[in-house]
Amino acid sequence: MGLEISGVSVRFGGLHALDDVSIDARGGMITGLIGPNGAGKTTLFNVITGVQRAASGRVLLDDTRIDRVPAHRRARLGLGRTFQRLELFGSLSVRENIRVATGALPRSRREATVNQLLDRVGLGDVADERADALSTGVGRMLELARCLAAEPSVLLLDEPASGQDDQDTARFAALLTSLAADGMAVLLVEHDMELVMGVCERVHVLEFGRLIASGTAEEIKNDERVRVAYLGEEVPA
Amino acid sequence: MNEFIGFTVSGLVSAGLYAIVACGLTLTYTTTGIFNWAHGALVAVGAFSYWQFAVDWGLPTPLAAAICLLLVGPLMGVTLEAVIMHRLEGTSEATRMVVTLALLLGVLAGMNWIWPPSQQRLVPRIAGGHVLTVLGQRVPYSDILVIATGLLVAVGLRTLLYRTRAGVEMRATVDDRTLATLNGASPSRTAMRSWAIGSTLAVLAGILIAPRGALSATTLALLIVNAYAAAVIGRLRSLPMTFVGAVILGLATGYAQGYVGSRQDITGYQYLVGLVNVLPVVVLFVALQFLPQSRLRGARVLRVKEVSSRPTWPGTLVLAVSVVIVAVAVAPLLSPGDLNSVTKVWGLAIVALSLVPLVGYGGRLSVCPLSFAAIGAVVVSHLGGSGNPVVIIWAVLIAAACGAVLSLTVIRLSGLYLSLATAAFAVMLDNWILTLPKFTAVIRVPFTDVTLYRHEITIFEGGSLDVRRPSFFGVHTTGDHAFFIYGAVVFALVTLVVAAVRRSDFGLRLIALKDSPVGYATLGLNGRLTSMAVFAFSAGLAGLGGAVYGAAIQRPSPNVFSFFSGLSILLAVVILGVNSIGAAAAAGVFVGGPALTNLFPGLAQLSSTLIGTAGIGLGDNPNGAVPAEMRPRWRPVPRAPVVLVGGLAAVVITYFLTLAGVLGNWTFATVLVVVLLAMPPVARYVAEIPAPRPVRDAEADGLSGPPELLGLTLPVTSADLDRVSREISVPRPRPTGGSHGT
Ligand SMILES: Nc1ncnc2c1ncn2[C@@H]1O[C@H](COP(=O)(O)OP(=O)(O)OP(=O)(O)O)[C@@H](O)[C@H]1O
Ligand SMILES: [Mg+2]
Repeated sequence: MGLEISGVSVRFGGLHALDDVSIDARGGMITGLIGPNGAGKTTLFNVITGVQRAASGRVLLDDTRIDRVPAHRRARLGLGRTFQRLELFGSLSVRENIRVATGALPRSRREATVNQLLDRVGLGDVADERADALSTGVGRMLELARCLAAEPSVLLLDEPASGQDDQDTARFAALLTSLAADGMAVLLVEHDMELVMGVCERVHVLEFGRLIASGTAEEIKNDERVRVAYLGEEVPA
Repeated sequence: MNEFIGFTVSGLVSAGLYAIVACGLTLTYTTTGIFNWAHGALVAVGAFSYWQFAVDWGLPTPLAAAICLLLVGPLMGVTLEAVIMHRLEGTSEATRMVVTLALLLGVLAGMNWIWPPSQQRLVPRIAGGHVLTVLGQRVPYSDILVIATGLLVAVGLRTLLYRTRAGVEMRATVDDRTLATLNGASPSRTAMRSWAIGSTLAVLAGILIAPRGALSATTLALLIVNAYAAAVIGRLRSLPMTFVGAVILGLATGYAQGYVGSRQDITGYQYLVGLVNVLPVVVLFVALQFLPQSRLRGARVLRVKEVSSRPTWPGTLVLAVSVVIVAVAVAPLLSPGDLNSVTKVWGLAIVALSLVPLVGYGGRLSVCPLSFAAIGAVVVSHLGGSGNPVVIIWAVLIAAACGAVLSLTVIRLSGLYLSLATAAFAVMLDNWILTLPKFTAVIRVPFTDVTLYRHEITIFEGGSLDVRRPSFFGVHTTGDHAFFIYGAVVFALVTLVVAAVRRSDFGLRLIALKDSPVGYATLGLNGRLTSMAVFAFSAGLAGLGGAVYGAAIQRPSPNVFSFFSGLSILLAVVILGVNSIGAAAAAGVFVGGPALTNLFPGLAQLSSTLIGTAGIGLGDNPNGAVPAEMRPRWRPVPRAPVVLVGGLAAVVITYFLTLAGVLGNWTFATVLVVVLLAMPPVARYVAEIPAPRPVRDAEADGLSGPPELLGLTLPVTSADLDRVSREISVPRPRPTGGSHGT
């Protein structure tokens, strides 16, 4: 169960944004996806969710191929995501943003779901504010809530903790862990290493569009290539 | 053979003209990102100024041409950039289009003022009757001149863009304004240049077109819609492809005109002749289908926030009820003539209202509202011989179905391309379908004589429709008085429907889809289905509007549903506030009401001119007048009940005095205007509310002060940091250090 990507390549003109990348994210756990700026993390999310076409490769959701399926149908099949550059419905209120996402639920459950999610991510106080008036950190929480409203089985998060302070981040980590405990597959792109190493069971590392390492958090921390390429450490002489 | 050469030459002449127009349009679009709907109007200005200098004032031809090309063209371009276009930076694509559409209408109105259409204007051919003999065919020099100029312009522009520094700067500005600035290009200088060149090319086309028939501003402006097809074949980017497009289009029209358009003896001539005339528009429609699939768009950052406030039930009910009350009250005051002409107000207001969900909530700028209204009117006339009101439901359903079909063909298109497609649809309907003579539709089982369905269809019969006014359970709306009130009731009901839609989940989805199509799709919602639904809904309402409008006029001719009339309605709604239901009512009254022309007889152009000028100012306030100006001004009034009651009482008393014949109509009108003007300030004084402050630019940006002073003389607040972070889409720097911030 979960998400499986194999052999995905994307080219922008001469640039290999992704080159034969294969990773997976299993249900019930949090998987990290890290890599320096421009490594192709967001591009991979775009391919998975159907926003961007891949030149080759396969995307499997719960063992069904979805790479020829239009974006909205993939979401209906259980794929949810947030965006690095927020994609909120700016002129709607926080509450209405979540309400829109409950479109697939039966009408009778919508109202309750919205209220429950507002509580769960702690947005009750700003429920009636316009989404484009929110700060980045709060906006990210709203995107998460909106995405949860569609009840996904796989959750892709693109730098959800940036723009949040340490206290928020700690609460956010707890929320992620509880989501995974409910059986959701979470794929987390994040630059905050403390967070990634703290919550992720497995981590994939991308560099220049290529997968350079996959393993448990502990293995990745100690992988020499990763330390050189990404964590920016000198190889001990 | 001779015939063939003749048709080829005339096709190439059209091709030359199309090339000049389309290249100018493409140039300004690629370098400034603004699609100039008014380009055709500039062509008309060129043609008329040339006539003014060369014919009316009798200057020698070369001098007249030189004045037009060296003075009129560049000056017009520079003025456009300085006064209008440069303010459009950072506005939505829809706002940009509305502004240039307004310019189109404004320029046409202005031209009708300067050069009244009643006078016939002819321009002699350049190089008179001299001909050159090509393959035994005599070709006038003036034709050769047009063909050669078209070629020269295409080659010249391409050289300019790729071989000169100015051209390279122009292209760089399109790709990345900021980057180009850093490299020493000046975006305002390049914009100025490209508007000057674009407008001069329009004038050039005007001069070349001028001798080819009596001058008519609207015909010229519409003719140029044909050239858009060439520009779209070039994907509004590539000049060589635009040129190829112009040649294909020119030859196609040349042969079609030659082999079909002038042969009354061929079968089906009467059905085909219209098609020949709209052939370029058909090509435009088809070419749009071959554009590359648009990718899912992300959210945009705009200079001015768009607001779409949720209508409240009490507010909407007050509006609906007051519409009916006002209609009942005003009807007895009007003279029979005036009453007859105001009956059309409500039909137009419903058409205006049909644009609120589509253009306002959905952000899809469709420019063919009256086309669906025409369909509604035709249905009612065709099926409703005896005034049976059930046909109104048919009008709504059939118009909605047509809307759904149109949306299917344009569903992949967004923004500008969608608007172009709807314009093409409107022109096709105007100039072909609505002019079709009577025909019989027969559906047969193939290869047999078994007829499943046979129906004689009359559209406008080449003249005017006969639309009966309906009657309900024995209540007839045949008289103007009854019909006026009936229209108000229908309009009031429709406002309730639109308010319900805005308040529903569907309404939320429309706005969500406009704000972020990518966000919408990744939540599992089907954007295409949503677009189709709103298209059908809006077309259905427009069909209803057309049914009411048609019945108001009783014998409408096709030209009351013309593209330009539709444009006035669209612009009026957008100017007044396309997200607001009240604005639609006001737009209907403004466009359909006789008030302005009654007050200023002889200024028939006044409402177009007003719409044009107001629309041009829209760049600064895309939300429109009602939400931005009227609502804040009137908000204090309900909070000072004394003033509200007092004002109403004054109006009611004067009304009854007028009805009793004690006071004249004009006194009543004056009192009404005075009360309306006085109420907001008096209420504010009584309720002790400070006058509304004008919103400063910086605040519109969401910053606490002017950006250039923040951090220097003004402190940067935390809200400013958030705003800036959003704007440049980087995460806000974290106050305490994480291990790896971006
Ligand atoms: N639409 C596009 N057209 C051209 N190049 C693109 C496009 N989208 C991304 N790229 C390029 O592809 C590469 C990968 O980009 P991507 O956004 O996926 O990186 P990322 O790993 O998410 O980086 P970051 O950590 O900065 O978010 C970058 O070099 C980027 O410039
Ligand atoms: Mg990224």
